[in-house]
Amino acid sequence: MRYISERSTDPGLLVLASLAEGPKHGYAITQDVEEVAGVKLGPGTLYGALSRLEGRDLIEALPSEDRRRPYKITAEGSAALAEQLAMLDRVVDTGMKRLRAAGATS
Amino acid sequence: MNARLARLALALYPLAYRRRYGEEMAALVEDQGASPRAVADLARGALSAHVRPEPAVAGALGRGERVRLGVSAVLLCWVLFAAAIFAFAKTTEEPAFRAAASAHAVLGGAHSTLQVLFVLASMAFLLGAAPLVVIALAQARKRPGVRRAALLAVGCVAVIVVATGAVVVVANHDPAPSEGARTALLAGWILVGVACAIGCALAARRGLFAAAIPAAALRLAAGCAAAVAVAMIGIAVATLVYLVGLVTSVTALASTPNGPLGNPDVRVSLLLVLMVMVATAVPAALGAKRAWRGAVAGGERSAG
Repeated sequence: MRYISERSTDPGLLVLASLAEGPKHGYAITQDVEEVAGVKLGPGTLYGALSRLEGRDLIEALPSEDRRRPYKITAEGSAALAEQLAMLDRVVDTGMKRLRAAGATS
Repeated sequence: MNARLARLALALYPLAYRRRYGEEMAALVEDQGASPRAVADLARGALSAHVRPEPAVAGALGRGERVRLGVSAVLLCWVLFAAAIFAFAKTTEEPAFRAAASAHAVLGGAHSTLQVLFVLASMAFLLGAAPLVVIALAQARKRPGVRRAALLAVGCVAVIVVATGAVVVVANHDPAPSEGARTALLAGWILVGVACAIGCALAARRGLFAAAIPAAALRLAAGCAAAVAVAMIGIAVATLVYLVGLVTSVTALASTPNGPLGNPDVRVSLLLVLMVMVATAVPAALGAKRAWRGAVAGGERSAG
């Protein structure tokens, strides 16, 4: 399993995508991201992303359960996630078309 | 072992982050397991939180806390910076350097500027620290946190006094110790001195947070911290000018062997000194800025 940092895949996007399913605490987010994207978010990377997302009002903290505080995506977070995924979708679509075109000509 | 390292890495996070996310992060480390990668990820995250703090998290600190954090950062940086100044003084103590400073205006000017700024910074340091020390000592009996901080500081001072006494006794012993023994003694004394100074700075930080300090004293400390930080930057610039002047004008002197082991030469020694100065002046400037902003934003309305 790859262990990602902020320099590779955007952890914020992965966290938002995870929280789109419903509120989760830190460990549940890392488990979900590992299952879906095949990457492991370290504690420093995860909480760096959570603090940035929270600072931009894209997620919000819910009351703490024991020492584990769940987070939920906000309306702004959902909109930002949809926008980023649409952009990525265009990139994937264009990239695949170009790869196929390059394969056909080579 | 890894769990202990993970706790240490968590402790490296800024106070505002530890307060907001500390419990959750510790719980996540327990759940994930404290692997070496997790420890490295925490250390990198802590560095990132210091360099690029999230305003919403950092802004959650009170004004008084921001002043205390900024002032204690300047204090710790000044301690390390002073060690670099001491190294500069030792490197340039030979008569040949005084002769070079007399013969070359740039060298002489840079050296004098450095000395004047050091005196001014020391005065600003004492001016800002003295009221805090008096306040802390007055509260030491009633507040256990202040008392523990004061005891730590006194302990550090006692250690360096004893170490200095031991060095003086051994250095003046008959027969005189060998050159190697003297070098080892000096190196050991410097290490103990720096460790004790850092201990004092950390004790002062604990005391700052444990004591109830009037807003006026905090504002004065923030102003003095800003003055110290400005002087540190000035001293670093003067050291750079001195180094460039020495390398370009007095090449032979710049390349003479230096240091306790005669290796490296003066250029490399001064370059190392300069690097330490820059590495401590920059965070000191950031700390002073934080303290100043906290102070001018209104300070604490009441003690504590």
